[in-house]
Amino acid sequence: MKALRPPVAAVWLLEVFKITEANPALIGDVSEEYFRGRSNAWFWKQTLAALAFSVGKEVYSHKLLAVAAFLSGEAVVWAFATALSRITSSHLFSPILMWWYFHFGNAWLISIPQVLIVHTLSGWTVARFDRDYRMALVPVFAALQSILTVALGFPMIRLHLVNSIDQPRFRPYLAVDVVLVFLCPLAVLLGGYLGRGDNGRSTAKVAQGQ
Amino acid sequence: LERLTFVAWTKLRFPYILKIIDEMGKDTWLRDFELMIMLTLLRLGENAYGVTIARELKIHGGRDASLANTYATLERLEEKGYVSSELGDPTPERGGRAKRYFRVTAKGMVKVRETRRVLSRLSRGVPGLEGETA
Repeated sequence: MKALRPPVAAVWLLEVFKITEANPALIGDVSEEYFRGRSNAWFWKQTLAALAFSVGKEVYSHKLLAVAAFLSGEAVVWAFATALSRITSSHLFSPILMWWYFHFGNAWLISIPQVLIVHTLSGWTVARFDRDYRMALVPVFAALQSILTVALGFPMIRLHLVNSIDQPRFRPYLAVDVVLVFLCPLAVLLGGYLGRGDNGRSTAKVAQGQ
Repeated sequence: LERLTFVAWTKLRFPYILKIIDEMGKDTWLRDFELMIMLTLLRLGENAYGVTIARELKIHGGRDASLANTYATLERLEEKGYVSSELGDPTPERGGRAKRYFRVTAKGMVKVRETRRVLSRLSRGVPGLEGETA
């Protein structure tokens, strides 16, 4: 039997998502196998599988709620993105932006904070939609946003990728595209964290029907 | 108006569609992994818990299933009434957590026999499968 400790981050994830409380037998089985000599990679694989199944089960058993929460989050994204784009292209802000662009030559310092604000707000909305199930709804919404960012930005990402092969000046644009793909879900998760409530029941209690 | 009617229809029918999706998985044939797990439980008898089930599946089924996947399937089978479970005593090598022992119920046994019978009937006379048992 090993005298090692399982990966701290994996154990933390299991506790944050309340899997340790909701399914102690599963965690007991994982611990038993790990202390019999399984690797850290094996422990991580089991942890990620447990997270995926737990989140999937929660979303599947509350499909209507999940769809409503995701639509609300998406509505926030579109509403705030439209509003911000209107504001930045207004008579008041466009000269400032033009001045910025001509002096510094980049627009990412403007676009990245915009994306951060919009996605943080959407994550917050999904978390506040139903705080009991936010631990399942927010990660799924974050993954959905990542997929949507890739899907909607695909023509531009492809263009930047093709152009940056022989023209190095396009590489910063490609870098911004890649950053956004990772930044959107992270901003949603941040919003979900900010939208947590103290009166929300844990997923374990919800799973037990308490 | 057509668009409005479509939106209203979708809004009204959406919960009904979700209910159909729920009903679809309730009492159908056993899926391959479900049947494998039921047979593993029958093989293991009294000692069927997560670790032994996953090990047996790897040895005889050649499938390295994650424990979470195994538990998700077992819980689904329990919801259908094919499997029952009870907690054992907590042990120190499991961090003080109890084992959850599973066994096949009478209803589950009927389902295993039924699925096996159907598989045998369907594979009988199929070219390339002669002489093999389901």
